[in-house]
Amino acid sequence: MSKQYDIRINPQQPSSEEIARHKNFDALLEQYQQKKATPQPGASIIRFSLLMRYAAALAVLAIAVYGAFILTQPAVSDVQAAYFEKQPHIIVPFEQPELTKPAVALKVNASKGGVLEYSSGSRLVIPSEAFMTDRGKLVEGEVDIRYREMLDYVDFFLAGVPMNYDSAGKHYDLESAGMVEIYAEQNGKRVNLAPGKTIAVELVSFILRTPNSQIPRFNVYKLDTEARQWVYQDVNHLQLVEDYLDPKDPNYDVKKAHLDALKAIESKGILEMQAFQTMTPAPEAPSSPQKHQGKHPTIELQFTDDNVIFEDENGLENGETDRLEKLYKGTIWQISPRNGAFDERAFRVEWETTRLKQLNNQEYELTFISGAKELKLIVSPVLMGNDYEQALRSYDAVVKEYEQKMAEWVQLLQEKRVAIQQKIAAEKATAQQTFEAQHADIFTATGEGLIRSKVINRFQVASLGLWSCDRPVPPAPKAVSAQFTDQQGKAVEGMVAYVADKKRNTLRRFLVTDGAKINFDADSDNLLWMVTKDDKLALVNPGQFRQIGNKDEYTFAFTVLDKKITNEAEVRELLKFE
Amino acid sequence: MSLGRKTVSSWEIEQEWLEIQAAQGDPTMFRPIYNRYFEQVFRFIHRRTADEDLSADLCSQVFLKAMQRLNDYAFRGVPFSAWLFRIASNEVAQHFRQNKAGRVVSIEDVHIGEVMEEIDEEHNEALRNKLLLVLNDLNELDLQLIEMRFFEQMPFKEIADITGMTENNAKVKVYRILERLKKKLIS
Repeated sequence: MSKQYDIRINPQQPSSEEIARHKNFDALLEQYQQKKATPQPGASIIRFSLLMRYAAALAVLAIAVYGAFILTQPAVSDVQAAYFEKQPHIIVPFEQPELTKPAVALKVNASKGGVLEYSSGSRLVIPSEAFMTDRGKLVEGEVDIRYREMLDYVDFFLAGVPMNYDSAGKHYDLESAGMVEIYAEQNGKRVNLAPGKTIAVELVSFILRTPNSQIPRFNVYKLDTEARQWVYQDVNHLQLVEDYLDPKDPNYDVKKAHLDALKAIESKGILEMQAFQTMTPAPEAPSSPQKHQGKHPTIELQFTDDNVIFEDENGLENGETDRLEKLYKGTIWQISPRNGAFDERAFRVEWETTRLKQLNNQEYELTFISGAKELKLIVSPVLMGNDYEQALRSYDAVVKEYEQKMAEWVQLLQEKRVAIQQKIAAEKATAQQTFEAQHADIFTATGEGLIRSKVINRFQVASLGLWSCDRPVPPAPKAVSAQFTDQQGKAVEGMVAYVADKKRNTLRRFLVTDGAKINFDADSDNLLWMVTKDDKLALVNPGQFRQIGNKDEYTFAFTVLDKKITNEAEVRELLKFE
Repeated sequence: MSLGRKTVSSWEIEQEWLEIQAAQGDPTMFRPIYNRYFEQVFRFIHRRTADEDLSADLCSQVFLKAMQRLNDYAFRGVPFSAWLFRIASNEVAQHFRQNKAGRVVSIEDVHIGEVMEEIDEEHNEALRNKLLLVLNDLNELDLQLIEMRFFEQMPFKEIADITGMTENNAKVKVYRILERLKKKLIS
């Protein structure tokens, strides 16, 4: 008889505490939300497929038909809202995977955690035991951390990320200091952050700011794909990277001169300190007297003999023979056992020259030279009998004297170091003032008004997904009711279009409809574009914004760029501000 | 060993229905329901797997499916717990089907005695062993009914809710199975 069941009598049952260890509603909720937001495993972003475009066209058609049958047309903003509510929250504009910025995958040991560093200079600090499976089990072994950064309007556009933020009934644009998307996988399967664990993010990015201004305050938001909105998390701890220099900066020369001046001040200070140390050498440490070990052979040296040359530790010949004679009075030179076997007959020969070079506190290199012949020996100065006893008695006093001199030397160096640092700080402050005055003048003269500053955004990630360092800003003040045509003057509708503002790192998207309200900054450069059904870019010439003037209505004409887009660089080139 | 259930009053069922309606609108509101039933569902699965990690995996899967299908759940007098156990039962069956393995049946000695009493047989070692052999011959539904009624001490109402049959039908089925068991034991 085959066994179809595994019948167990009185099996061990887990306790309530053991069961409770597997309980984790937050993980379950996250898994639920991920599954709801991403129908395909591994895909973090839903593509704006052709099908969706047809759906978009149908939605517009439906809205138009509906409008024909009612007395009151729906407000334009309602049409916009109704359209985007029916779309995925993230709308990727191109279907080609090469136009989606790839995530960088780095491995980390889940048990130990680690620091992951990226080519942009950004870092993730992953704590130990930070991950668990969607069923609440702690993950061990290696985990792939999938990380990508989105830093500017082109990144936001290609990633399809929305940048609108509604708070207390008001609409804002999110001006960004940078976004990151972080996911973790083990063996191709998503894992989550364990409860209570956070990843520390150091995101290197750029912000736009006016010269001499305080660094603006940015917050940290997480995209809630379920609620279709950015959710405030914390304040972003922003640090300015002082020595950043952008080669594309129109004021590169002034900034470079300033940075060079700062570096020169630093270098001058370092050189001054080095010169002082050279001029003020540390006191020489006394060597403790060594007693002659009877078993080792010794020799005697007379420094007053012309043929004995003493080299100091720097290899310089020391001609102070009288001082040396006095210094080494009573000293004999013990031949070190480190020399191994040597021919003792060498000492019976008269050598033309004898060189003595200090190797360390206790050892010297003794070289006998005669013509082409040379003999090298390691020797140590030792004392015998009364000479040794007398040296030993005076050694303590010598050491005390040395320690006193050493303390004075350290104090002197420290005082000099502080003085130099103060001088450097004062010179840098003066240079900074000069630079800022020049800088402000330059921006006033060119009308640029903003500088691009490199920053490090520091924040903690408590769950995986899309995080952004932003500040909500009200929509640009100028609004125009827009119509849209192609270059032949034929009306265009039903596509998603985008507006970027040179002065704000954000991106606004809207449905191209007759009467769509476009907010823009008339004092800035603005780019408006959309993606055609055959994946080409259609642009509105930035000059058209300048022609609007005081008009309340304007017809924007798109020009289709007859070029198939194949990579991100092409998009950047086509969408760059002049 | 019972699963620690208690009889649920109709007032409690209605209150729970309000919680479920809230969770249908906002998944985060599912938390109290999850907390209430997690241990019961875990034990239900563990008795059929005897493996803690596997039970945790399947339990998580049960609640995920419950959340995903929550909008399909409508209150028709059946406790929510029965709906959860039905999902759990299907998950366990699916797991063992996929792995082509026989599932675990956990039995306490004391409950074997109760089955023996029910079929008017004395409880001795030889009959006990024979009972285990004939249990092994039952089909999945029949075994489930005996398991829930005798080894998990469930009332017929709850068994009916989980299996989707009427209470009366569940009673009739259980007693027919017992008769068949008795015949096999004395043959």
